[in-house]
Amino acid sequence: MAMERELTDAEVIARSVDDPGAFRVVFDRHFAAVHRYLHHRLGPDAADDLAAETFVRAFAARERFRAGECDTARAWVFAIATNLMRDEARRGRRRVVALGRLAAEPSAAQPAVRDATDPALAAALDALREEEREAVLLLAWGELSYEEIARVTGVRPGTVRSRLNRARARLQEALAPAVLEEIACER
Amino acid sequence: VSADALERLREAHDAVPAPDAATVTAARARLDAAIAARPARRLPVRRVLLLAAPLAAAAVAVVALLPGRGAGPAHVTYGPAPAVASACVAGPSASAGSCLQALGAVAGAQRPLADGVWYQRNHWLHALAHYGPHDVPPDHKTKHPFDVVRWTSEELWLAPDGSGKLAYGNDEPPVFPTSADRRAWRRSGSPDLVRLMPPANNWGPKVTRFEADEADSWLLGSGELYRALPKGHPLADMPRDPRRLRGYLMHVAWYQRTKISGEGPCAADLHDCSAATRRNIRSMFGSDIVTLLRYPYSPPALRRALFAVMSGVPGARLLGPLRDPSGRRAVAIEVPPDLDDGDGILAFDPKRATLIAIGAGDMPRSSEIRWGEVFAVASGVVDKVGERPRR
Repeated sequence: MAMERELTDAEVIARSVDDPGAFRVVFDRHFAAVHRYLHHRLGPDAADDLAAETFVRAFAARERFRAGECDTARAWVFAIATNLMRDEARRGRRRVVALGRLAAEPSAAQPAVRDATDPALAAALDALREEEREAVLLLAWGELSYEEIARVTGVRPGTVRSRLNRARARLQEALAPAVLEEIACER
Repeated sequence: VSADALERLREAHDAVPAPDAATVTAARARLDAAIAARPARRLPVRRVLLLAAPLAAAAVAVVALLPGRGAGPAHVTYGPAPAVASACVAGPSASAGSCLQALGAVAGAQRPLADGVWYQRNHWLHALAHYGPHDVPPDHKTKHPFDVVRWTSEELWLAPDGSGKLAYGNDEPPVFPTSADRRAWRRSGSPDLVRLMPPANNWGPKVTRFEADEADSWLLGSGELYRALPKGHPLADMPRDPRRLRGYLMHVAWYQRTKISGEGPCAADLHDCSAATRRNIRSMFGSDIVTLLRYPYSPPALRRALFAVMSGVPGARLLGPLRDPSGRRAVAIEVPPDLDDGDGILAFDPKRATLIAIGAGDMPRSSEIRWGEVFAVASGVVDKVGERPRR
């Protein structure tokens, strides 16, 4: 009996150029992952809006999708989500400052990561450089490969690797005291 | 990343819930709306992806006026400009509220035009490219972030019966949205702008023709306002009394978000709406006011009421006199952030109370305005669709 092969993301997106409704398959495959990633980074309200917008933008840009070395659109939609997140941050900073709510450094207005469940981890992530944090979160929360992270962030895989190495060192350094404190509290 | 740190990160992520059914439904409805709108709707797209390219974009703009259709003809004449000057420009008593009230008086005093086809040429920013330390592709990276934009033009012909034509021009040369962007570009070594942002004229359709009453679907398309108003006579139920108009527009915004976009659901009095839905409804309310201010068929009495509704919104800021990107005198108001969609600065012609440009602040980098749309750089009444005013 012949088995029908499931279309790859690249094939679905190519089909959606002439049959726009086909793009819903891309949504079904990747929306939850993108939403959870944005939820963890920005909180639930912003995630609802940006995750939805990610797929509207992806749909509008589908003719420019290039699969690259793999057929999945995961890196592509995460790249769109990441850029929307940056745009949102820039816009938010402009507004905050325009309203005079912030006296000095606008980038200090919001934490880079919102994670109420593990404040020590959130603080350690906040202390990373932005490009290091981006790489490590795309790896751990986005579940992207080094090559996919390279595509999202526009650098070579080797650069991703070195960023992750630096992030590791910084995270270890930042988290170690917190672990000791937790142990001390249990005594 | 070490196994410990990575594992801890993954454990933290495991606690993040999957989106609930309502969230998925609402997001899918937005995608469905985009799919259904293709290709008639212009959607904002940013050149921000690794594959990126320009876009098609933005909203529209037609400010001014038309010969009458249905109940209320619109207008273009000069109004009591001195009142605007005193309320929007001079003296310590000037404020956003008094300026908007004065603009409303001017709007309400406009007179109908002679019959004919209204022609208008607008400019809008249809492509924006951001270059920064993390942007892609790699050869666009710089330690001194800057934006480059491309504008394009659109020509609109509108007949009294709601038919007409819309024609887009080609990409204009790349420019900087602010002088701060130009300075950052210089610090980045002044890379060739055309190479950074080549023209992309393959978006479209470049020409759209409207049959009778069809222009509304485009003129009121922003935020699905068109679908929320009565077909054929979208302004028929719209109160001219500012207080009632405010309530009506809030109800329309609720309908757009909860019935058309699939958000919510929640009650029309918003008592059980989530915080996010309330925010979105309020933002839609502001967006609809702007759409109606530039809707050519909005009659003077409605324009006056719209200004009055805006004047009652707390948080608006008077920016005072300035010149729009085409060099015209204007008075500008910054609407509060919860009412705009990233474009919070509205510039009005002080003599006609027409909306002539929309932009956003560039804070904290500079005090400049990043303009996004400029309306009616040329306009007038012509005999038939396709003709342009002589001058």
